[in-house]
Amino acid sequence: MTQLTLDDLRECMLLAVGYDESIDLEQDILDEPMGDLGFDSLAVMNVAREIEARYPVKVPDESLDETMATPRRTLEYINGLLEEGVAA
Amino acid sequence: MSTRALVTGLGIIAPNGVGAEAYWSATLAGKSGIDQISAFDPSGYSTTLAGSVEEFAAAEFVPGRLIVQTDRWTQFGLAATTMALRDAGVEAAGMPEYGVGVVTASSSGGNEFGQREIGRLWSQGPGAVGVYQSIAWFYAATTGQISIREKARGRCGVVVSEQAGGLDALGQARRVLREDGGVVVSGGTEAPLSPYALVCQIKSGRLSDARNPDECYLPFDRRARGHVPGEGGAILVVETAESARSRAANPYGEIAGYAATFDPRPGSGRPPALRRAIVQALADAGRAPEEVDVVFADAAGVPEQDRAEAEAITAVFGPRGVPVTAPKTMTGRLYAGGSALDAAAALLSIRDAVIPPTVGTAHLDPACDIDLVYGGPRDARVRTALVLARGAGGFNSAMVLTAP
Repeated sequence: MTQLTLDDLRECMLLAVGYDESIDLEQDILDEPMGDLGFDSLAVMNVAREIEARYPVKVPDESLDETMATPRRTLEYINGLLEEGVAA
Repeated sequence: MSTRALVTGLGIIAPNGVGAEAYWSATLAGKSGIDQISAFDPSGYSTTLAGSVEEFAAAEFVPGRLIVQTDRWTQFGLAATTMALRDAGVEAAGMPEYGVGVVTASSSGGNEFGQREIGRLWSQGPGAVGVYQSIAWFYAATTGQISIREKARGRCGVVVSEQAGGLDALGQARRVLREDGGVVVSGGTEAPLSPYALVCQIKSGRLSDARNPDECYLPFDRRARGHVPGEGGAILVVETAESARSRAANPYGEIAGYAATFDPRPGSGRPPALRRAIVQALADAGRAPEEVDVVFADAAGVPEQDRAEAEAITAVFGPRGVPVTAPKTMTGRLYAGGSALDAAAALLSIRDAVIPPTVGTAHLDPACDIDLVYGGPRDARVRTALVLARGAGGFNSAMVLTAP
């Protein structure tokens, strides 16, 4: 089944900020808060839209500060949604 | 009220040149930036000509994350701000935390961005609308993004008064300096050339439908038939004399006088208020009409508006009493960007002792008894310049700029 990998997420994150040179996602980012990685609340919403454009999933805008607080939380959350979608 | 407002930096994005010196040399050479619209196929529209900024590469000036968040008009503003601050030698990092303010003008906001997102809404649904639509269309977006990027945390604002906006923003910048001191980044930009924006303007009835770039925008000419739009504008660094002195800055000139008036409602029988703006701006500057060396005209390109402007000028200065010019004939009307660009051009006139030409216009409307500078630039000692701007809907603004 479809899964969001860390590399896929990196790509969605870079797309969401126009491949900005100041954004470095090559380090160990899994547990870094989105804000520390240079993603404010609108940028995180934009990441959610990029994920939706590529995966059969609808990401609610509510509580993104929790559901997508870090890349690890984001992967767990999105892959959970993808699994639910398959189950449904 | 004694605080002097000096202009110490210029950033220019114009259809006939990106960067102050590129714009100015093209303008003195009479090189126009008006041509067929190339961003989309304009053949289905009554207006097909415009002043497009072809040479602008946003990525040279604006980081990727801001390109995603902003309309072309804001990208012009960010780029022109970078140029202006560099020109002025202002390092935001070296300024007091609240020492730099931002006041810009916009008359139509983020057209291209908004059109794209509304297209997505109608074709793909609400989920396809990008999150940055929420901030990118809005008139204040350029001021806000400049403030964030340059860490300019002083007083900020935006003025919306169509073509008068650039002068109104500079007038507000002077007021901020009187109250807060320091530095203000000011001026205006516009990007009104998306299909949606063009349609909005065509509706005004003031656009030219000419197909020949040499005949599409002829203010004060017997053949005047409207104007063509253009994109771009100018950002100016304005600061108090104290601030300029402390940085050993080399000012272009001073915002010595400013006034804004509003026309009476149509049909009232009362005269338009442009003349009153001129008189009040001169009084504010403490200058007599005979001290003015050049007038940068609003130059609507619509016969009755041209005549009204010529009447206002001759009423104050006498028939052919002062050289009048309209370099915007080489860019089209840039709306909020237009009067800011005229202010920048007036300061360059003062610097180089030369009046840039009006192009296109060759057969002066006999009802316009003004000394129009056309056919080529005119050498002249310029110590005091008057810039006029009228915004659709009744806005009139006049600004007196003087040598430092």
